[in-house]
Amino acid sequence: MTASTQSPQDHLPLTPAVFNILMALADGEKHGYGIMLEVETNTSGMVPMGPGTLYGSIKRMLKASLIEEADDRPDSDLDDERRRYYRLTGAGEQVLRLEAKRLASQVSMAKAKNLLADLAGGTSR
Amino acid sequence: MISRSGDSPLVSLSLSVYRVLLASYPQSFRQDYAPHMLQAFGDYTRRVYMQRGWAGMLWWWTLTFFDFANSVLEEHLQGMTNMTKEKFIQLGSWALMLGGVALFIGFQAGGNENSALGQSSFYANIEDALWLSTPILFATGYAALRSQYREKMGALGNFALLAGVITSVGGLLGMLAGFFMNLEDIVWPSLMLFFISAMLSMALFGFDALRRGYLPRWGSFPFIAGALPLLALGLSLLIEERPWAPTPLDPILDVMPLVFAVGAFLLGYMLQEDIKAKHKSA
Repeated sequence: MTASTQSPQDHLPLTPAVFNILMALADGEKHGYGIMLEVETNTSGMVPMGPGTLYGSIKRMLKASLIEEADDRPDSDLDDERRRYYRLTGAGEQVLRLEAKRLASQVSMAKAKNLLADLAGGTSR
Repeated sequence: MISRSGDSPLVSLSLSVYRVLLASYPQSFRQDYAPHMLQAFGDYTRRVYMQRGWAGMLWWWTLTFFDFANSVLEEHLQGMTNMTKEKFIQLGSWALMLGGVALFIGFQAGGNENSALGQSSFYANIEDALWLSTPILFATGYAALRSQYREKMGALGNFALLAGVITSVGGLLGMLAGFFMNLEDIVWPSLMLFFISAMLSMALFGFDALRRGYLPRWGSFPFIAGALPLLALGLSLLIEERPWAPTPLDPILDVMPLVFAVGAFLLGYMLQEDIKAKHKSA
């Protein structure tokens, strides 16, 4: 299926790598190393991302038009000009929102079944 | 340059090793992303080394290795899914040539099993790896041959190559079951199923090609390379009740599997030359 014929819903559920890359780009464009650091911070190191997974996912996300290369750089004087920056597209943002909603609804279900009581600091059952 | 003059030897070494690993990715992926992957790897490696030293580097390399193995496999599999017919035939031609080389080495190794070298476990593992890889290589090669000459070949050639692919896969599955499920009794019959069917397929395909004349060169070679070893095997069974007992024909019989291995290599080489010639004339 090509990017143009896919609806945002068709991309769900996202793989952890794609979800975390989209999350890393949600607050602005970043280069590959910047994405690696952001994913590490956002997941408290729980989702370590090597360059192979990162750029393999980037390739597929570019093809699916979820992200695009950014021409302008945040600060070209301070940065290495060989770096390639990426940013979310409108479709990418939509897919990220849908996936976040999907995950939130799953978390709500887990809460309803009292599975998160320990994490919230409460007593279970 | 991705390396920097102030890098520690460990960081520089890591960058050199990672640069070598990047060569394993498919060419198109490498062209687009290898410099960026190397840069991101270098930046992250420096950070890990500065913050966490040797222990951090050990953790990072463990993660990198799994990341590399997983992503290189994924990119190649994706490349194969998107592969054009021409690329598949080219891959098949390499597979046939490699299959010929693997068979040649495997037969030589089998002949040395009584020597000290032949009895070492390392040597045995290499031999097992060769026997397991050859059915995959031959199945790919035969499928590529069928793809290349399908419009010109007759029903016999078509059937021979299709049967060659199926029995190669069957032989491989039998060997895998034997190795990993401890069903040792089926390893040898599976290997023999693969050998005999691969030779028979090549002989029948060669006969079909000879009759219809669609191979661009060495038209009789596939038939000879497939039929001669089968003939020799049949003769040895006729001459002796116990085919493994020494006979005066042994020196000739020993050479026959090598004839098949050379035949497979030459068939792969011819296929590759045929693709190049068609590419030039197009």
